[in-house]
Amino acid sequence: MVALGLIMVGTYALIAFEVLHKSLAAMLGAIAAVIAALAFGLFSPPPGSTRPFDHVHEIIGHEVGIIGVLVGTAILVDVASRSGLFHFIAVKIVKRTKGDPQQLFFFITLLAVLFVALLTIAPGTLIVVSLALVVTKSLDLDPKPYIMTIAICANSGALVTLASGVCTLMLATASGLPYMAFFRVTTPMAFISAGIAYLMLKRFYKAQLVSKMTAEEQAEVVAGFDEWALVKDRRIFYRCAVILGLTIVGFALAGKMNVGLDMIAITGGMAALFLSGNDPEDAIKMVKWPVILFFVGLFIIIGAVEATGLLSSLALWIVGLSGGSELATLMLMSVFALLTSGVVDNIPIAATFIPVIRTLGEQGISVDPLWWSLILAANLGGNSTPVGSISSVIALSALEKERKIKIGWGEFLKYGGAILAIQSTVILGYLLLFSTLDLWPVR
Amino acid sequence: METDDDNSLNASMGSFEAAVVKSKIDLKPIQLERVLLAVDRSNQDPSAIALAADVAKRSNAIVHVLFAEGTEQTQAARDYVIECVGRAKERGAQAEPVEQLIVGERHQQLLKARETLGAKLIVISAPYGAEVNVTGDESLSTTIDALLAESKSPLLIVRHPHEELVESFKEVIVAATLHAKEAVDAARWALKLVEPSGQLTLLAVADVDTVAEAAELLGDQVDKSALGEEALKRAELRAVGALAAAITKRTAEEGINSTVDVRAGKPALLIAQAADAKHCVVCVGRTADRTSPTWHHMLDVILNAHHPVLVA
Repeated sequence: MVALGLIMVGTYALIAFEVLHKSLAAMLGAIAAVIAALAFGLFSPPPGSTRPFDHVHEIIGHEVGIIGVLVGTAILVDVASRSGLFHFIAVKIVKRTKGDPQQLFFFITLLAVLFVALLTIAPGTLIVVSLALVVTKSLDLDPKPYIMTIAICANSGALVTLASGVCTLMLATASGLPYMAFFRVTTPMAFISAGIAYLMLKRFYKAQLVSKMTAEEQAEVVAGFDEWALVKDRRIFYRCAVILGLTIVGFALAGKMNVGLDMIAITGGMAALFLSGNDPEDAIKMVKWPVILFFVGLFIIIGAVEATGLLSSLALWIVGLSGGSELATLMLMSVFALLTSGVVDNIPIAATFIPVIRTLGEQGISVDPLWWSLILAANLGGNSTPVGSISSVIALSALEKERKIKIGWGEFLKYGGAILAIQSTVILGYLLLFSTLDLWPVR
Repeated sequence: METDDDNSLNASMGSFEAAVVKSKIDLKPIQLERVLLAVDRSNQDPSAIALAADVAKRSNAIVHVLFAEGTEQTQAARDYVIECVGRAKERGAQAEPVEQLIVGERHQQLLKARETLGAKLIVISAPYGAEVNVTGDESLSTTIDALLAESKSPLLIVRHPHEELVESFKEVIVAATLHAKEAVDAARWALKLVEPSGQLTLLAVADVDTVAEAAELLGDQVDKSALGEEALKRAELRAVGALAAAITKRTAEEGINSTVDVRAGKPALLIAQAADAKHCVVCVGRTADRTSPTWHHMLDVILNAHHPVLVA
């Protein structure tokens, strides 16, 4: 138990401090965990097998649904991004602002939430960040407030639907929470948390949200944008819109159709690939294979640690600490996830808590509130630091690369930390409200 | 070294930069009343007749067929012209024979006929007056060279027997390099040529050889990391943004499907490969300046072509 616990904590430390690439760290941790588990005889052969090692395949097989969703959505999103559909919509919306810095700030925030909701964090953030960099350059505006709002509000976008973020998706798949229930619990919080960040950043960067141009000059610059230059292929453009829409409907109806989300995602991805005429090799290359390896490594480590009983002990310890109160357990887990997600990638945090929550469920505790709290806290917890979420990493590095402007740890912690403090208070209040009034969706 | 995220950022930035259009391009429709078809008894003639007839039929234009011999016109040439007129009519076009108006060089005869008729397009085999297997792939013939320099009308040059005679203009490529200005006329002609339900592709290629030469010349003064393939594609996309917007808008209005394809590489080879894969007509821009890169780019495209090339 101690050896495997150390392997898990050691791997998380390697990931948190970026000593090794996170995929390499996770896979090396997985190898060490398998060797330790086999040496201590923790793995028992699954049914139909005589080899204890086959337990590893069982662990991976148990989580293969998440991998299927990641692969399918990555392909679909790549084809949709390349069609120019989202770039087209983005420019259409920006033109409505007439170049006014305040309106632009509002719509950039809104686009960050909506594009992440539809495209997941990395591709959604990339599109809105590049839009903000080009538009602010054309309007001679300081890009910092726009980049900060994207970095922070993208994490809110990951809460809009079940498939909006990798962490959300992983927890949704593990918990089996229905797609439509997200609109009741996480979607309102997505917009509330983004609203908080928007208002606070607007206040923090008040001086920068002013243009040196006259209103007429701003309008002229923005009117010069031609959204038609963004459509790479009109046929693919329309097809992608339809496929994306059908995939979202498919996610919503997956439960009723008795199929997994992976089936819907893979079907959507393959339909996009088939109907786009794009080179399949190019699209398949866009699947984040390092992320897949990272997941596989984490699942193996956690599967091995679970076999030691350590995570069950952790679950019992949490129950003991909260005095058996479900509400206290909920608050405790939320605070822990909010604090740690800013330092360690939220994926390992979520992955570790999956077996813990399952164990708590076996103890007779109502686990749905715990799943919801973990989804909210793990996604928004990354807002406090510049390395806490993938959206911050993408947005800040793009700003530095394209405009040679750096947002340091100090500035990010000051603003991001203040935003997270308010968001955390609101999240805890929100969870308390749902628990007190029993507003949780019934399965 | 550029990562996947860097490449994705470059591509996305390039798209938005392309949308920052300083002056919009208006692709005015071309009115075509007369087409001058220059035949020479070569293997390319059947394709040239088909292309001239197809474009004339759709525009309700007349195909004027001429055999420029460079000498007094022979009866055999007159008979051949009549035969070609018949073939053009078989494809549903209006067609008429044209007599040689002057005695002189072939290109002079063709230019005189163009001027007299007011033909807005010349369809011609290349190398004119000789078979490809006699002149070799590296020559366009002096007639074509002279026409490229002097003709006020675009030339649709049929380099090798064209395979798809039934659907000549189902797919059309507009080839552009950094000199997108010259590609505007090529795009106007591409819109004229492409069939109503066809496919028009703007293929913009950043010339890696030119960039490499410039980088070598400038040495340490230039940041080599800024000259990667993705960075070049981004720059190319920015350069052709206004043209891409104009093409997409016009094709949307006319129900033609259009694609914008931006690459980095050797332009003439990439254009030839794309055209070969689609069996289609390529439209390129032209300049009067024989010393400019655009002139050499145009010649490279024609010489590498295994398909008809319209030089606008």
